[in-house]
Amino acid sequence: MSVKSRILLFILSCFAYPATAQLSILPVFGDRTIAENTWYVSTKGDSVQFDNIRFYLSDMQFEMDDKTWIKDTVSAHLIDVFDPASLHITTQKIDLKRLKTIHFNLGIDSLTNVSGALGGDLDPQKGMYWAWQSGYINLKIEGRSPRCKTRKNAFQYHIGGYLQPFYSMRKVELPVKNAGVNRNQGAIQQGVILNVDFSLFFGNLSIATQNSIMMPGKAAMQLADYSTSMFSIHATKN
Amino acid sequence: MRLKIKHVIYCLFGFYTLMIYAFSELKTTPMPLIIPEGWPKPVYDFTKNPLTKEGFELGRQLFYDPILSRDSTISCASCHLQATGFTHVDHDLSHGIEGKVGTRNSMAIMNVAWSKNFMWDGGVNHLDMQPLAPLSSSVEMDEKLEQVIQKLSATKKYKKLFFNAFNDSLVSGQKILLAFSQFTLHLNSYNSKYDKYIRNEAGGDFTEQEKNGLQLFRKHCASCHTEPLFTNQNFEKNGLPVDPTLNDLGRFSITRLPVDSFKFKVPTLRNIQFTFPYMHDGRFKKLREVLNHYTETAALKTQIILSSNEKADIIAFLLTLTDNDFLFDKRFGFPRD
Ligand code: HEC
Ligand code: HEC
Repeated sequence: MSVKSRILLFILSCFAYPATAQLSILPVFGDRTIAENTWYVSTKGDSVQFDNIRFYLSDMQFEMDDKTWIKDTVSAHLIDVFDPASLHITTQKIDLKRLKTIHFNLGIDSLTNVSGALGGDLDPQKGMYWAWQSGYINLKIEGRSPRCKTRKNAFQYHIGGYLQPFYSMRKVELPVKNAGVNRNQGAIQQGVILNVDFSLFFGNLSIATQNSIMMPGKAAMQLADYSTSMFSIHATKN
Repeated sequence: MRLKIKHVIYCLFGFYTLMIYAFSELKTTPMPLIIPEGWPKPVYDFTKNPLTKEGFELGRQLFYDPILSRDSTISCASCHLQATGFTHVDHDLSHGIEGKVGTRNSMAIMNVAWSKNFMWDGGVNHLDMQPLAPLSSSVEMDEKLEQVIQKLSATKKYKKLFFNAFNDSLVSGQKILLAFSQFTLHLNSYNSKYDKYIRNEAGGDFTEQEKNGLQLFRKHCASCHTEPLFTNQNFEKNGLPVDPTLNDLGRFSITRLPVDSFKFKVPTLRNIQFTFPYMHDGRFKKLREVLNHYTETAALKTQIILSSNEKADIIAFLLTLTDNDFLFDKRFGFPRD
């Protein structure tokens, strides 16, 4: 290969997106991908539609077969279900054949919560920060359901809180072993697919009575518990 | 051969520009916080936001600029005036946008580098995050951070100020918040008559009455209003009966712990002569009323008993906490350019 074409290839590989994305997030409701202005029916028979779903994945770590751990270089990723660019996380190269378990936090840890003004995805301008009672919102789900007898049938869940006993960050640990190839994914994609199934969250909820949770407390803790069940891993292991 | 020399020259030129760029990072002028002798270590972590002259100047401009409010009428200084210890005088509950009334008396901004929590209920956990509260409150400035970023980015003035302070003219939420801290961290009061008395300096001669007032203060008040900051930085109940029209639960609304009901942040008493009205709801206008409250309440753990003369002595002492150097320091005032 000539030097010129090698340089060209190198430059191209820097821009070729998402060739370096190792982890893709796939937001679904049951067996359907989540889209705007679309109705979904929960296992409880509630119809729901989503306007805004955002959450933090932080402190991601990859546990390998040989007991070594590889740490993500970015401390927190803000995932916005309706912003496709945020659904691909680029980490350092990992050997998928040896990947055993993925660990991460859903939300932001208490130390980060008291660390003052941070940048990047943790910048308060991202709208995931409470002003009057400092702290990050770990998970935001906003939408509508005819079951909610509220203004515009709206429901809104802002789950956060870093002070005990209402510390709402949750540790998630997902074994990669035995995971099949994701059937929702049309295109073949190298890497790990993190499935987030919101039907499992809404399957737990009485949406008619629990439709506005906007501050730290018992209710937020319960929703935080429900939210961890949404995650599962599908990896291509070839 | 010619070509090669050309390449080397280009290369050197490129290197040179890179060097200029690298050294341009060093343009800011350090402006460290003055920590008075005998004071505790500040709580604020300066390694994450090293104080500079340029950062201070940006913070000062922001503090005095109504561009921060939705209709460009209210600045931080509308409620925090320098001449009154950076608080809002004469209003029990502070007034904000379109004359809307808030639910609490505005607080003095002083010696904030030593505070762990902010606001009367400590709801704000870090000085950097404090401006988010007034910015987003619908009765104060009622403006969203994204909007503020847009408005600031649209002005040449702020692009330049941000560049000076951060070597980058791109405005972000983080930079705005860090700049506010750069300014408020310097609002330090440590040159009152009391300070000069403690330091044995000229201008620090206490009268007998002031000396007696200090003794009484140390006995009855200092457990909460601890020297030299005149606050123990905790949340305490000082026996005020609840105002049923506000029913402000104080610290409880943040921690949800029953023991925290009606506890409020212990405020500093520095420059107390000018920071009236007093308490979280501004219920007292005069220091005499405050002292009468402390002797009349049965809700304190240790009852405070003071004669009328002793009250006068404590008030005489409290007036020695006025720091004119601070209240009239031109660096902290409205930026005139
Ligand atoms: C409408 C009036 C108003 C405006 C405008 C306002 N504040 Fe305040 N400020 C208050 C009130 C009231 C409190 C106490 C609030 C509470 O406890 O709920 C306060 C508290 C504070 C405190 C906490 C002091 C402490 O010791 O805990 C700081 C710091 C502060 N303000 C800075 C600012 C800054 C910076 C701005 C501009 C971005 C600003 N304020 C704008 C009224 C205002
Ligand atoms: C148990 C702790 C405690 C003790 C003892 C105490 N205070 Fe206070 N003080 C507070 C708290 C808490 C507040 C704020 C209360 C509120 O706003 O609800 C306060 C408020 C004040 C204020 C109003 C400050 C402002 O900016 O509004 C003054 C003045 C004051 N105290 C003076 C005194 C004096 C003088 C004494 C001794 C006679 C004293 N305090 C004893 C806890 C205490």
